[in-house]
Amino acid sequence: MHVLKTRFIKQAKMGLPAAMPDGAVLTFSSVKAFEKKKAHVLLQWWHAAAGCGDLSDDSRVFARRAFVQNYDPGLFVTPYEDTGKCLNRPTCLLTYNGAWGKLNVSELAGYARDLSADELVARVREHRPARRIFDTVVYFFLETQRRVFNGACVTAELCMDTYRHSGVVRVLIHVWVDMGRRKNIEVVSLKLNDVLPHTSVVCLQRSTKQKYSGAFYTWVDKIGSLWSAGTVLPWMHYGVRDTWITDLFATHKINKATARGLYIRAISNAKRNVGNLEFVVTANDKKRLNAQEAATKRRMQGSFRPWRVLPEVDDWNCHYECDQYRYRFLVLDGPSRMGKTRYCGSLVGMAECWWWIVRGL
Amino acid sequence: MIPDLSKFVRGTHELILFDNMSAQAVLAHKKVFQASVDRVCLGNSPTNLNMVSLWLWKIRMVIASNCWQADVAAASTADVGWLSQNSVNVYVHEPLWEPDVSASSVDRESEEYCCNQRCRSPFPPYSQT
Repeated sequence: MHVLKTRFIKQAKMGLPAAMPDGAVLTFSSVKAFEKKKAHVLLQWWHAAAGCGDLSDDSRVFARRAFVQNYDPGLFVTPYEDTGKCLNRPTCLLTYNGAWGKLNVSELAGYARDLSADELVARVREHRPARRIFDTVVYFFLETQRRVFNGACVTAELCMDTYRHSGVVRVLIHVWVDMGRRKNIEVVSLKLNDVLPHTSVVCLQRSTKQKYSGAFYTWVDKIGSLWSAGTVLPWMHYGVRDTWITDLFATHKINKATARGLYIRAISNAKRNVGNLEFVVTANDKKRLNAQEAATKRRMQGSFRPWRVLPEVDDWNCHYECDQYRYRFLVLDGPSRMGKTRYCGSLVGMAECWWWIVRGL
Repeated sequence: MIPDLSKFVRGTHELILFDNMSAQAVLAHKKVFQASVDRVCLGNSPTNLNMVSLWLWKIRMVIASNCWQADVAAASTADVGWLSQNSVNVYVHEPLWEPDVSASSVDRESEEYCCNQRCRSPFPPYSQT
């Protein structure tokens, strides 16, 4: 494979026809023309090799290794543009959000508008173009840029908000990089597929405590996460702080089960954090249920017919207006489904002012 | 014997509805249902651990039942006398909501049923418009 690729490049540079693994024959008029299209051609070559059904797993691994070893670090670097924007912090979180991340939903098997996050993730994981996007970024940062950064972590995830609002399936790439002692790396040098990354500084100081929160962010199995890869792993290269997990749960990035598992694995304050988590989830469920109950009652109250006027009940209600030592109570006796219970609510007006005990004895 | 009244909030709740309360339970807690000016203590036990003291004066007490007459018939003469003197008994023999007079006779017949005709339920009293 390595020989094949070398031969291909050599032939192409010499202006001779070069055969691609998928059968296509390319000819470049000059070395300059080859340099111009090198990035595209090499990527296409790799995808053709990776997608070749005849290759065994071992061959595929060998092809990948051969490709990576000869990967030109400047492959994706576009002509230099002085944007003046540099990465000058110890660690940075880069976000690639380009048009290439927008998937063609007609190619997604079993795509529907109302899929859950897990179902959508399962379908996109089978989508080869999405995987190629992730592979490209992984090779760029973990292999070709290995000498530039002290460590890097890459994750691909779905933008669930976009899917919920418009049904569009969009893949985002987050990359965390540890720049070590390096300073002033131009952002433009990290341009991938004509997309400049959005950069957010993870920590201002060279604090080892906060330094790896971005790496953890890329590693954790968030809602909508597709794949992740990295050279810096939690609990192996750095410790995980429980506040990072709390932040992720508070911003709805991870679900309860994931947060619970991470708290336990983080050990620090595990018992308290799991207790807090249970409390918060229960309180949120209760709040949601109360809101649903109130909305249902409001909706139904608008469709009630007016109640009958019962003279006996009016007299009973009036006898509370004067002060007495003791009062009479009201008994509404009769068959079921006559509206007795709801009628009681009308006696005091506002629904909040009457108290309904469901089970009597 | 009596439902938990510890969560009753005076000033917020103006009426207490005891749904399906039996006459025997009422007779066992006469002072509660009279909305007396004196405080009542509920939840007594040998240690009074869960005792709650309530001031239920002028709080409207309503009992909804579909077997009240049978309960009263089973009570003693003295209890029947106490119940008749301390309660206003209203027998509900027809729906308590106003009928839809604008509807035709056929609609009036169907209005007593739920909008889902299969369930044939006379409740809730929704408007058909």
